[in-house]
Amino acid sequence: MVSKRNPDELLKFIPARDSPPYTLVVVYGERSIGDFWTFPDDGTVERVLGAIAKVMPSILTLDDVKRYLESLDKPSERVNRALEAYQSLVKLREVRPGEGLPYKYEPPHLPGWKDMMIGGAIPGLKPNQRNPYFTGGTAKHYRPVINFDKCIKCSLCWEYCPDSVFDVTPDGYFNPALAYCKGCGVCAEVCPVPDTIIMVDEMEFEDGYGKFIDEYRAWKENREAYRKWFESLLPKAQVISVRKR
Amino acid sequence: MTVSIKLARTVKDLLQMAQTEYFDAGHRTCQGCESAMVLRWVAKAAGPNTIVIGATGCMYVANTTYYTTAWALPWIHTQLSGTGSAVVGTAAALKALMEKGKLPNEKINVIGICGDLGCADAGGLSEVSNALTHTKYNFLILMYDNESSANTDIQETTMTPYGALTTFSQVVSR
Amino acid sequence: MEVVGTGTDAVAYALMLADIDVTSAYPIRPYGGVMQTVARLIADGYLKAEYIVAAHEHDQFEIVKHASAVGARTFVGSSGVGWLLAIEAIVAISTDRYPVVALIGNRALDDPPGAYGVEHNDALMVRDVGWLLVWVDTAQEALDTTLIAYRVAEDPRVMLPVGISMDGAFLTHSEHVFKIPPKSKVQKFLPPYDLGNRKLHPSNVISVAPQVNEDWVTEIRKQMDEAMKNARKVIEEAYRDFAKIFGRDYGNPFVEPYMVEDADVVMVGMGTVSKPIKEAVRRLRAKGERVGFLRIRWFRPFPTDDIIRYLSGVKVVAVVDRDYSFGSPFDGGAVFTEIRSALYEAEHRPLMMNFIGGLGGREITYNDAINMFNMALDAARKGRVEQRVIWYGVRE
Repeated sequence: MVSKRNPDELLKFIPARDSPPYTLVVVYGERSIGDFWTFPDDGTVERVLGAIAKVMPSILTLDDVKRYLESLDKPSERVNRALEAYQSLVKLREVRPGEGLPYKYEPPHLPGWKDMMIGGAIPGLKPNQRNPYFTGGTAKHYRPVINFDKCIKCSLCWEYCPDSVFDVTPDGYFNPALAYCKGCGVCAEVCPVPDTIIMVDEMEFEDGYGKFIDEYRAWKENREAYRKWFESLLPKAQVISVRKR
Repeated sequence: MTVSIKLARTVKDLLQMAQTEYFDAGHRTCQGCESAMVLRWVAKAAGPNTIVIGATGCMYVANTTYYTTAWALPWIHTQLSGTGSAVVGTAAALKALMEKGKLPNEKINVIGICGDLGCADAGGLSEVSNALTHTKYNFLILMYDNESSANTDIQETTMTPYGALTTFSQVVSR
Repeated sequence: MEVVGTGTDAVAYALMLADIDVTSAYPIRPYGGVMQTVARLIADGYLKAEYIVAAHEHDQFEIVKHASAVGARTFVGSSGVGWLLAIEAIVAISTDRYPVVALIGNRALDDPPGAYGVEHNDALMVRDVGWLLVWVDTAQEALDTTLIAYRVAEDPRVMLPVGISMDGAFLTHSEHVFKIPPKSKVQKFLPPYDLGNRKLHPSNVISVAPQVNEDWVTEIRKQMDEAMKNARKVIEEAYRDFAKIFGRDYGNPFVEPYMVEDADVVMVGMGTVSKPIKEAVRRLRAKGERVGFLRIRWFRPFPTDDIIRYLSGVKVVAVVDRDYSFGSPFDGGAVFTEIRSALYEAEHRPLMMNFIGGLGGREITYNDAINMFNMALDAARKGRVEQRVIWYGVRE
C-alpha cells in the first residue's frame, strides 16, 4: 500500500479477515493512481518496485529493478526513487486473523438464467431512485463536509454533481448522500460561499465501511456540536469553497 | 399503463420538473465525470416521456452494469456506429405504431447519445448522416465530443486535435 | 387469389398480410426485388409501414433491431457481402432476442465480386449465433414460410430472429404461380407481436443490454440455447396450425422427404436444387432404382431426429452442398458435415458422399443429378465410398 500513514492507522480502515495471517507493507508516499491509464509519472511505480525488492527479493531483486528502470527514460531519477523506497520508505506489519475493521462481506445472490429477463434486459429505476445495487461511495479519497450555517441555498452543488448525490431537504438545503459520493470535489469548487463546502481526507472519518453519517441530520440535531466538528476539520481540508488552500 | 405528459406552465413547475432525477446516482463513471453531469441534465430536460439510446462507449459501459442501471428512463444499447440507425428505427416504429393505433398517440422523445467513435468514426458518421436525411421522424442525437476515445484508454480519434497526446500517439520517449 | 410472381414478390405479399410496421431497405442483388415490391405495395395503399432507406446494411439491420425493441413488427433482408457487412447488428438482434424476420437472397461472397449467383455461405455465416435458418424452394413456400417465420420468431418461448434463405436467381427472380391467402386467415394464424415486459416504452422502464461481465454471460447464452431448443416444438405447432387454417399441409416441417421409403441411395440438399434431383429420382425410380431425395428446410434448429429417421437405414447418403467449409473435418460442405455429425449416434450409419456443386450460381441440371445418383448407386453396390468429397463439375 502507498500511504503516508502508519500501518496501525491504516488497519482501522481495512476489513478484518478470518485467515490466514498476512503482512501489510506500507510504502511511504502520496497515494496515487499511477499505472492506471491516466498514468501520472509520479514515482509510485518505481517506489513500489523498490519496496518489492526489499520485502520479497525472491520475486524481484534490486538488480532486476535497476536493470528494468535503466531501460526507460530518465533512468537515474527512476532508480533513485526505487532506491529511496528500498532503503528507508518501507514499513511492515504482521496482521493476525480478525485484526482490522469489523466488516463482513456478504456476496450478493445472483439469479439463475430462468429468473433473468431475456435479451439482456433488466428493470429500470423509478424517478428519483438511486441505483440500489451499485453505490460506489467507498471508492472516494475525499468527502464533502457542508457548513449548513453558511449555506445560501443557491443549489449549485446539487446542479453540478455528476453523481446526483445531493438530496434536497424540506427547508431547501442540500444534503450529500455520501454512500453515492465519489469525492470529486466539484461541489466545493462551484460553491460560491467561502468555507462552506470543504473536501476532507476520507481517513479522517471512522463511520465504518460502507456506512456514512447523515450530515444534515447531525447538524439539525446539534448545531453547536456540528459547528465545532466542522471547524476542527477545516484546517485539514484539501479543497475549500472560494478560498483556496 | 400510459404516462401522461405534464406540461410545465409556471416557473415552480419547471423547478419541480428539474428536481426529478431520471439519470440517477449509482453509475460507474470516474470521479467528477462531466459527461455524467451532461446526461443528468439532458434526462431532466427531456422528462419522463423519453427513450434513450446509448452507443458503445463510457456513457454506456459506466452507466449501466448488468444487472443494475442508473436510468429511470427506458434505455437501450446500440452498436458502436449504430446511433443514427437506432434513433431512426425507434422513432419510425413509434410513428408507425401510433398511426396504426397500436400505441397511444403521444409525444415521445427519442435521444441517441454517442461519443467520438460512435458519432464521428467507425461508420457512425454515415449512420448519423443518413438519420439526418429522414426528416419525418422526431429524434435528437447528442454528439459528445471527447477529442479522444476515452472509454478504451484515451486513444486518438478523428476528433482529436492536432498535437494532442493520446495513447495512440507515436511520441519519442527518449 | 392466385397470382404470378417471383419468389421475392411472394415474400412481399406475405409482409403485406403480416402487416409489418417498419422495414429498411438497401439495394443488393438478388434479395433487392422484395423491397421494390414492398415499396409498390405501400405506394398502392395495400400496406401501411415505415419504409426506411438505409445508408448501408449495418444501418439497415440496426434500424429494424431498434424498431423491433419498441414493439414494431419488422422485416429486413440482404444478400452475400451485404449480409456480412451487417454482421455486428445481425448478432446483436439475436442476442437481444428481437424476432426480426430477414430474407437472405443467397449469393456468392466477394471476392471476386459480381457473382450474383447462389451460394449458401452468406446465410451459413450466422448458423452459430442464434438465428433460425430456413431454406425455401418455391414462391408459395416462400410466402407461407414468411408467415410461419413471424409466428415462430415472436413466440414467447422463442423470441429469436429468423433468416429465410432463398436461392439467388433460381427463386428470387423466377416467376411462379402462387396463392395469396385472405387476410382474415392470416389474422387467425398470426397473433399480434407482443414483447411483454421487454417493450421499450416510457410506460415500461427497462434498460436493455447494459454492459455485462463474466458473471452473467453464460446465463444469457443459456437462455438462447433453451429458446433455440424450444423452437423445434414451436415450429411443429406453427405448421400444424398453418395446415389447419390455410389447408396447405407441408407434412414434416423440418425436412421434405421425396420417395425415401425403401431407398438405397438418398440425395440431400437445400433450396432449389430439389427440382433437378426430384426429376432424376422419378426417372430412376421408373427404371427400378431405389433412390430418394431429402430436402432440408430448417437448418437451425437442425432437424437431427428427422435426419436419423430418414437416413439411418439407407445404404448411401449423398449430400449436395451449395457451399463450402474449407478445412472442415472432411474438407466437405457445411450441410454434409452437420448431417454426418447428426448420424454419428444413429443405429445404422450409412455411407456418406458429398458433392460440392453449383457454386456461384452454376446450374445443377437434371443430367448432373443423374450423374451424381449413378456415382452414389455405384458406391452402394460396392459397399464403399472411393472419393468422399467430390467437387462436381470442376474443370481440371
